Amino acid sequence: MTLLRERIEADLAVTLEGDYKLPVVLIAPDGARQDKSANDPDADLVGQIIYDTRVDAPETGGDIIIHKPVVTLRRTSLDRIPKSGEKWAVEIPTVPQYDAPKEKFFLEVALEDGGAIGFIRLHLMRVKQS
Amino acid sequence: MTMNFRTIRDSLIDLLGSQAAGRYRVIGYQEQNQDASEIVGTDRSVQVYYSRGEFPKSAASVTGPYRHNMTFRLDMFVSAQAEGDLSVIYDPNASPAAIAAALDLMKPAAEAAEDSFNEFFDVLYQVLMAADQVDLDLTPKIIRNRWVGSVEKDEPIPRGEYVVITGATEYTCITEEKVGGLEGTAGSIQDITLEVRNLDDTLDNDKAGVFVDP
Repeated sequence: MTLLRERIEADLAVTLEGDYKLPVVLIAPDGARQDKSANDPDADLVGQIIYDTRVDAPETGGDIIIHKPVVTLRRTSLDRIPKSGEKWAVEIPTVPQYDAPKEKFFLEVALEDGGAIGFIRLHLMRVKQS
Repeated sequence: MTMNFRTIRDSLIDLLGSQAAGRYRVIGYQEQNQDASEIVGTDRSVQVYYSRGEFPKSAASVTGPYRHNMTFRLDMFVSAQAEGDLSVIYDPNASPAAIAAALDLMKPAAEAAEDSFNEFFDVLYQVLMAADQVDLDLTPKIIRNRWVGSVEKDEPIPRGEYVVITGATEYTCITEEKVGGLEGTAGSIQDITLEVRNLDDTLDNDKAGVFVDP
């Protein structure tokens, strides 16, 4: 009999890495590139991607849609867990389509709150050429 | 008759605009709330407006000219995005070490905004306090005692991928205002006759001069 937490983690193979998965490539601060899952070296590293974020505009009280992607990944699929403050590059498809060309974003914040069992959310940002 | 402070304000805007050289944008009025879309492609802007003035009472208060101590407020607005050497990071042949070095040098948006604001104020100060711009290209002595008296910087505000920093600096100077009267109001008309007399009377020469006959 598995523990509930273990069961929830195992379910991520369906909820995060199931039908609506999208490929993700992580480039760690040391330059190491991960494009395959740590759970299955033959499978792509995949996760869920939300492309837009909605925030409140303090001046107007209305909503603003910001094109800042949030990537949710299964922790056990990662070789190394990103942490806030580290400089990571993250490649994701430009549109929510598995084979779409990829665009590079950069890690702004990595969140693992109390409700996150077995997964991590990466808030990404664009970077301009210096 | 235009008061000097309006002329000086226009000259200030002209000066800042002529010296911008693509480094910033000049807005000659106090703008309403700025939308996020205005941030895109506009890294730095400055709004120039007449903020306040003082008219100290003096011995010339009855007839003028009137001293005008004025303050112009220059609101600075800077937005920045995180910066990095993407050419290395996007290079498929780049080594992990080179990519790691490029990632390490990436500058966060807040730091980029801080640097941008400091550079912006540096530029504005140099333009405003340049020795050859004491008169703002106006007739000398119209503007006197110009001074950039203060600068303040506000907290960084994250707006999506951009970080915005606002701040303000104050430009003070002195001028003398004249009062030209109300337009369209006829003044009182005096119907007088001037008569110059040079009396050829050697005994009564002290009567020579101008006689006014109202």
